[in-house]
Amino acid sequence: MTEYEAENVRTLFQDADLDDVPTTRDLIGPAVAWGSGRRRRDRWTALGVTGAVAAVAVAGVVALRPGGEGGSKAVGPGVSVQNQSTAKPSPVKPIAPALIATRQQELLDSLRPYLPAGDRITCQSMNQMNGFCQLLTFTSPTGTSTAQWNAYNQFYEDGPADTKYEHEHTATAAIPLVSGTIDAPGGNIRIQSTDAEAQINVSEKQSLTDPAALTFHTAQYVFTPTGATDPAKSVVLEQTELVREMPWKGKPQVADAHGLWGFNPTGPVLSPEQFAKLVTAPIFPSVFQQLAALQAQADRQGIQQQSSSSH
Amino acid sequence: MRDEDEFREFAASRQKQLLRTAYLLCGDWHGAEDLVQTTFGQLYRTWRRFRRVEHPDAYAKQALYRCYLTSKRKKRFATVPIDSVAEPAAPVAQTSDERAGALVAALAGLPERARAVVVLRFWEDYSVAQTAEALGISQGTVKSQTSRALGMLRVRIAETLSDIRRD
Repeated sequence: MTEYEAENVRTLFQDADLDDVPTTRDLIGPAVAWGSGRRRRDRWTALGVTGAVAAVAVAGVVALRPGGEGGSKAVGPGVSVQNQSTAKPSPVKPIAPALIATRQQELLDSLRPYLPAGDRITCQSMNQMNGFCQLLTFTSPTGTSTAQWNAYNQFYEDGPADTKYEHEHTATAAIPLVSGTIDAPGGNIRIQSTDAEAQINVSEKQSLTDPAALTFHTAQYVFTPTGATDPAKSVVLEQTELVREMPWKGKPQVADAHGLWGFNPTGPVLSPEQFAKLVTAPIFPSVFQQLAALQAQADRQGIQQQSSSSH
Repeated sequence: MRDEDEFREFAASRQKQLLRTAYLLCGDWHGAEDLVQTTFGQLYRTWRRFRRVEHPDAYAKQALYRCYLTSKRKKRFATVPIDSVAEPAAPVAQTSDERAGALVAALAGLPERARAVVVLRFWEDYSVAQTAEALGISQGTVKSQTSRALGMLRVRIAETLSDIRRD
């Protein structure tokens, strides 16, 4: 393609008459409704952690909220909103944050029989508000991953692969996991395996000797049960961890990098097969729902607190 | 003015402009509306930060392109159950302009990222560096994608290009 032909393409774009723009529906109202919901959720996600630990949409929570919103469907932008309820949630009796935290940990501990021996799921201590912990720490004998999970909906944000700082992972001896889809007992798992550069999670790359060093790994699993026709039946787990030390220039800019991001040289704590075993456990749906309800409760209490403090 | 009112004002003033770009990316107006709505949602989510950026138009466009690429990446995996497919919407007249129609048809044959690169370079008049920044890819990738895309477009819109030459 010559410069002359490129210029012709430019001319074609310039001459294209797109003045008549048809609009068939309100685009702004539903977008504002969705954006407001996401703002609330954002407060619970990955405090102090950006980039590699992507914010995960809280799909099923809407349906599980106590106080009369049950049965409504999660709605996001890009879909015409027809039945979105605008009713305010009814008041719910507050629960002490400590009780929410205790109950959440009990629920997580109930999953231990379905985890590999020695593994445990706990709240990442620095990521707890109103008792609920959005970001979890998966611990194994070899290390830790930070993790989030939720039900899948179409507005779940896939982790960006092959962007400026994040790249498709190629198999290594330490981390053989690559992107793709595999069959698993009870369904299949879609895997996205990415590496991220050290600079993705720091505000000043000058604080690193090698900002482009691949120090993070993220594994995203989407488990879809066999025969499931509802996307919300799928469960998404995203695990991120440092796989090598951050290349700090001098004094570390993050006091506890392992605690903040997790650290496991062999990648995600849970393999896809181990994740499949967990999500197909008989108690998993109930635990998952109770966790979502707890989060909704904490979320609601946070909004009520904000609302009362702003008046 | 409240946050939301401010945002609504901003969105309304940019809607048509974004819809045109979205139409070139998606190839149909319904898809364009979905994309712009998704973009508005993301922009409103970060409005408090976004309204203070130096070039809000560029930021909004960047969000649109990234939403487009994200949605396409998701669709590669998507399996849509029959019972969840909505009733088809009423058809919207695409475009009566012959050149625009030829352009959209030719763009539809390009891979998603190449399409985004071409629209940014030739519709938005972005430089290679600006395109790279908007899509979060390297300048080398922009150059190679542009070259490949133009090669494909040359074949697809050969007749239209001939008409331009004759004009």
